[in-house]
Amino acid sequence: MASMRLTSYPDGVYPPSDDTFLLVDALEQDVVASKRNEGGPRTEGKKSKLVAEAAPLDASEVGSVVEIGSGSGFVITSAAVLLPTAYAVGTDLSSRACLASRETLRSHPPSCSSRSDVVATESLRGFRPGAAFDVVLVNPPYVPTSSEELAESLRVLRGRREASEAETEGAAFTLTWAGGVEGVEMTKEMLRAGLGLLNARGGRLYLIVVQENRPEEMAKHATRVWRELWGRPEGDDPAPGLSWSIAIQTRANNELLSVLRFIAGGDHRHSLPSLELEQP
Amino acid sequence: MKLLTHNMLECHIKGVTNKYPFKVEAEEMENCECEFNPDFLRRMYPKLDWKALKETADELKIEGLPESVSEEMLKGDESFLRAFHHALLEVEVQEGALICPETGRRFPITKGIPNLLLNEDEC
Repeated sequence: MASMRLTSYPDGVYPPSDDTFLLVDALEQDVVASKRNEGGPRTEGKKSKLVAEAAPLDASEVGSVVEIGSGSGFVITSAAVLLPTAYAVGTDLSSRACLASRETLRSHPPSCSSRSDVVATESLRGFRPGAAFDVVLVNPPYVPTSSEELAESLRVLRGRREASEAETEGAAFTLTWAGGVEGVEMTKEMLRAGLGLLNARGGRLYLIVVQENRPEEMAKHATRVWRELWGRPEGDDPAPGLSWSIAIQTRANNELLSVLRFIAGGDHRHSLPSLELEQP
Repeated sequence: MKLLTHNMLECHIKGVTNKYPFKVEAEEMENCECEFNPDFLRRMYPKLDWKALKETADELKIEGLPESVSEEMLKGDESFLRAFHHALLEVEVQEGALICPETGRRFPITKGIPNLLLNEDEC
């Protein structure tokens, strides 16, 4: 874990949790593997609770990183620490979360605050296509809910002129976890936004999923979206230059959490480490 | 908000075509020192819209940016690189707004955070 001094998470902001830490672990193992110049499978402990496979990432080559839904700022600040020469951006649709992200980035000076910004927006809306990021981090709301629950929160948020601040922030908090049917409605939207702004030459996207989201289906969905974005909607071939693998996987409480890692312009290795985690 | 971030943003109101760049209305600006890293600037340059950066810097009275940039300047013109670094990373708009060039819609900047959230009728 990158050394974090202070993370700001007031009421109404998603506190750093197991999924948060796992996303940072996924990025960190790749950066560390590059320093050690090694990849390959790695497991921790005899009765492994964690399966991981690094894909080395040279931190000095990373020019920019963005996190969609930066919340407390724990992940984007960790990324700014791990990638010490990258421009780091966090986005969030909650103004409270944006302030928390900024506060956390500012608590890790000098380099984190001086290379970073926070933007209040839905997903990556408002970023121009040329912004293409080298690393995109996504910890979406993945808890299965009804579509209506999700739609209602989005409606309150977008109708903020009529809603009170408490209503708006309440809706924003619901959106930190409510993922719609199978928990994938928001994930798919964020994934599309992230892939659309991913540097096609070696850019990588890290995405948190739980088992209910059906990780393999999600990865296939991503390659379809990638093909669409690059104007190749048909065909059975893998999308040109988007490989995916499971970077890291663990069981936390009742959730089987995975981080899917997509690499643009990489090889077409679809690896799926077999995880035989003991039932809790 | 740094000018680097401003350079990456455009108005995303449905139907707007003249969306870039936002005009910056700065009520409060701050200078935030940042470690000088020429490699960072060289890496970031191809992603930037130089004209937008230059125009915005001019409007905010940030001096020293040329109309255009040559490879030689990027490689080793230190006074240029310093001015570029300063404009891109060290100037922060704390309070103010981003103005859509087509509709004039104001997106507020509060505590350094630009707010691009749209209302239902704009999505």
